Amino acid sequence: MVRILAVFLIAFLSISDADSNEKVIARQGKVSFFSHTSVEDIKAENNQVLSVIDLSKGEIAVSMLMNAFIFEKALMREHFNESYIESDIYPKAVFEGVLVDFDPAAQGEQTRMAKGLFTMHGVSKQLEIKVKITNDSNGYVVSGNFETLVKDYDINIPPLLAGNIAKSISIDFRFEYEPYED
Amino acid sequence: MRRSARFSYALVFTIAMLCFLACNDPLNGDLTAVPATKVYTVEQLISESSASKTIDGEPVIAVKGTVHEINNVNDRYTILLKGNAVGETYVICDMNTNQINTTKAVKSGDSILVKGLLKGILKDVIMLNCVVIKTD
Repeated sequence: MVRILAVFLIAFLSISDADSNEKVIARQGKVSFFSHTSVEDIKAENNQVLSVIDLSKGEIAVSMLMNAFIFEKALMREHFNESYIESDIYPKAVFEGVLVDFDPAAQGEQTRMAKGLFTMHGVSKQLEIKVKITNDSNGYVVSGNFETLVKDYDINIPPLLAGNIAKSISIDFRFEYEPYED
Repeated sequence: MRRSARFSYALVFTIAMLCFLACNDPLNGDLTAVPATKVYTVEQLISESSASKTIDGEPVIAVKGTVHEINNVNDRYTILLKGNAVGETYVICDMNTNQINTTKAVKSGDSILVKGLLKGILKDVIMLNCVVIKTD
């Protein structure tokens, strides 16, 4: 009888644990971008990007404050926020999508496609990005990179500065997740 | 050299110097000498930021709270402050690079006062260029 009760208790605790760990959160995700032209290189990083994954559904959401990018030069930050991204009008960029065929139980590394809607500067685009997902004793890590065109997001670069900013920007990201309870 | 030519050179030099200073941010984001416009508790800051959603400008504010965690994620020293209310919303303070030793001296559970640039709120309130003003 004691053995049966013990088995039920273990089974119950396992189910409760699985339920509470359905979502994972990254509060300090990193997104960086890089623009290369013959005139100058521009790079910036945001280290407080929020991301949540619903493990049971394979859904992923990413949200970042556009004014939280750190630049090498103050003038670059000013141009980025005031002239290009207009972060007072469009303060956030958001990605909502799914990790296609993602297996949360698989240990080690898996490469999957993240498909979803990315909204920045008031413009929404369907994106399909290859991501590397690592699952080990430290939790899940999602990382990857992709290229995007400045013109796709209605960002107007003044002709005088057109030579300073690349038409295609390289974006890198890395999110380290921990268990999350709503 | 003619007076007008000298004036032109002086003007160009002045503009170049101003551009250099503006581009290289002489303060390097150090807010030590910048006064805070307002002092909040963690609960007040989370409550006000959640209610307003948008913040006018990027005010330099101070926030008082208990250290939940200190970490070095992304090679950035960061202090997460929690309030007394139950819940998983924190104030994330991205520390200025000149605060490494001060940050290392802080421990979880310490009560501290931190000053920084208020950037906004996602799930947590985000502050950059933070400096520790006081630890209890």
